[in-house]
Amino acid sequence: MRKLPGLLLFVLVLARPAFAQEQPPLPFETISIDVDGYWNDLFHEDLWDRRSGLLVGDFTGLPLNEAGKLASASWEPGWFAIPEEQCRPHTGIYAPRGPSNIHVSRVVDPDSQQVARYDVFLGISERTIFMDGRPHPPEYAPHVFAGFSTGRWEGHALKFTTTHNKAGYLQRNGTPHSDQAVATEWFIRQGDTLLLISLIDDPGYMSEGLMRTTNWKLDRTPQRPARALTDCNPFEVADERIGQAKHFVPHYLPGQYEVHKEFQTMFGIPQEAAFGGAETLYPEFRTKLDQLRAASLKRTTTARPGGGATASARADFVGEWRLNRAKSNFEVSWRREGLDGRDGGAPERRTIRVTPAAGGALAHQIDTQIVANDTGFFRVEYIAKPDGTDAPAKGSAIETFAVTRVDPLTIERTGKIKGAVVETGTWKLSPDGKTLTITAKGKIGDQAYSNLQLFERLEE
Amino acid sequence: MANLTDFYSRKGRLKAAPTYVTILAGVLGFSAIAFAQGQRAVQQGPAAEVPRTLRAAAPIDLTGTWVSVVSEDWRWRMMTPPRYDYAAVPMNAEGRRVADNWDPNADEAGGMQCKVYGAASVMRVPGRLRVTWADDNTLKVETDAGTQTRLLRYAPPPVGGERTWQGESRAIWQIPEASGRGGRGAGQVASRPDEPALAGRSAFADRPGQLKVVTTHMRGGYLRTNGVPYSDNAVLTEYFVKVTAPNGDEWLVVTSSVDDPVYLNEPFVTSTHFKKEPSEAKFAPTPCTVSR
Repeated sequence: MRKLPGLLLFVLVLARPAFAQEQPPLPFETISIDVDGYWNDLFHEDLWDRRSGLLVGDFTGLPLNEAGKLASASWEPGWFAIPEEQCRPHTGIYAPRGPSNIHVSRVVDPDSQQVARYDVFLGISERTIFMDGRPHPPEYAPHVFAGFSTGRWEGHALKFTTTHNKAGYLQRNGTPHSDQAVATEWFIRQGDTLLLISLIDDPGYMSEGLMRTTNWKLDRTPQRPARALTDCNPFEVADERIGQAKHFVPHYLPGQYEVHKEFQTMFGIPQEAAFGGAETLYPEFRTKLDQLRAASLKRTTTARPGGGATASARADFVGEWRLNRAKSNFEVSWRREGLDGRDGGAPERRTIRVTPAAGGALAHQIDTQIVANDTGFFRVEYIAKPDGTDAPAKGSAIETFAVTRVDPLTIERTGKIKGAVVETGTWKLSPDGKTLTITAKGKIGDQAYSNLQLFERLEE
Repeated sequence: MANLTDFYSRKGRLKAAPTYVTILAGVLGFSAIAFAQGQRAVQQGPAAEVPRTLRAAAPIDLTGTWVSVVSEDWRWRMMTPPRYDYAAVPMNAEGRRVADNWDPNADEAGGMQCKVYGAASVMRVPGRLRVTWADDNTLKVETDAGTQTRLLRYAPPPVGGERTWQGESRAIWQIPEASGRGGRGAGQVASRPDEPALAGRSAFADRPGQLKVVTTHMRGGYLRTNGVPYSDNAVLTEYFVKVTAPNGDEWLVVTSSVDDPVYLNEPFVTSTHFKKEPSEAKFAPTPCTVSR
């Protein structure tokens, strides 16, 4: 009996290491790697690519080869309107980049109880990832929009490879991928987010693989996404380009890059960078980009009448102006919400471009982004003489604008709908020509507004 | 030699023995459970011992020199975006107010050139990373852009003192659980013993996983070079993963989630990728600079 307490003590000593192993946290933890479920899209990177779409000529960040640059630059937005393309499905390579929640579900083989495949539902398209070890079809097999995907688990990553894609686009401003493109991708769960790593190899149009990542957030209370139309019938194909010759494909010929320059001018990006290329993707290119931008600025400045003059020396309305929101004030009688529910009373971004036009008129081009995270700009354009005559406006609820010059630094602008004045405003230029202050008030229907907008002249 | 019958037949022991036996059995049983729990974390793992250091548990080799390949958000990373261009950042009204008043001249005059090189944003700055083991529990990430050093530690020291651009980072490996019910189809979890650098040194060399890093105690800075702010209260959660391309290129992908109730409506999530370079020859440290 006396030996029992000793034995008990001995056992406790033996057991202590086992307890001790539980005390300090380990430098690792095991995690669930399942990717099944409903996932909501996140747009915190590549918002423009993935939402409203990019401007013509924005091929930044793409390792295009010369063929890729030519093909990209030849794309004209009217391409989507030709009958053959109106009902075109997305390819498997593009599909995950579109704005769509996704649903990933596994299908288990009833006999082996192994996962036979994953179905990935992307709203308007679907992809199937076969997990049963089957080979890819032979090279001569038909190519399809979704491509053919096989996968396997590598640790925490579901790796899958897609071949047999039809030719398609990488993004919505026409950058192409060929039917030889192969996608190697990895789905990885990271807490409540899902990461898709996509590496696109396309020797037809790219000089090296295009690496991209896409994120989704777990939807814990999913509403099964409605299936959008994936195709349509011949009666839904409209003649969207009236009078256009049958089978004509809208395009830009090599060198016809006037439209592309709009993007380059808007953001100060020289064509050497705007058209992409592998070189432009690496940190070293920043130095070259600075040099290209400086050279471009110099060319622009010296090309102006009185070349070399700085913007600050100018005291006329001609030029480009950008809204300084911090120094502006907007009052609206209604609540305008952004896509994320935030107040959109003040526009996120607004620029005004004033250029001389025939007969002493001034051409006005006003671009506005209403709210953050909305990539859609709207543009108002009109050409008005400063004599108070009504000039028709495009892109605005207001039908005409009349501009009257009060003095060299002041103009008054009146907006009308069906001949009735709905808005009045004063544009006042600072003596040094650096700032433009606009005060305006108006009422359209039951919506009243007033504002003081301060614009700063952009350096040219 | 007394046998068990003799033992229990002796006077007085029949009554006492069940108590001790019960305690003994309880202790043995409990210790067995505890030991089993310790092993559960590595169930089906190849190692006989539970790895105790970050390095010993590494399921992937993150060391080496990595270069940013800027194929995403090019216009916001390769150059300073225009003032007021905050596209895609889920800022709240206060965040926009602060960003609207961004003043690079004041930053420069105030010695705040490193505001965009803090932990929450430095991985988005085009440049190179040099990743090494500082010790068995600390992965060191150096950036040549801004000459910053991040220390990803299994057991960081207690948070205290002044906040820093890089804050305090707690790192832990996430290992995939073993394939269980129903399996996962072709190529189950333990399927890629392709980390020769880890062979014999890591308990999980054949179970690729990811490194989760949580960083706090950062000094507030900029998420983008045009003054999009994050505050002192921001918490950064990151996942470091590695994949190998068909041509053998190795890619590091870092997913960052910046949670900042002061300036953001929701966590700001981005994934940034880097390609491995054969040497550190191009790793060229440069000082922090203010962008305009």
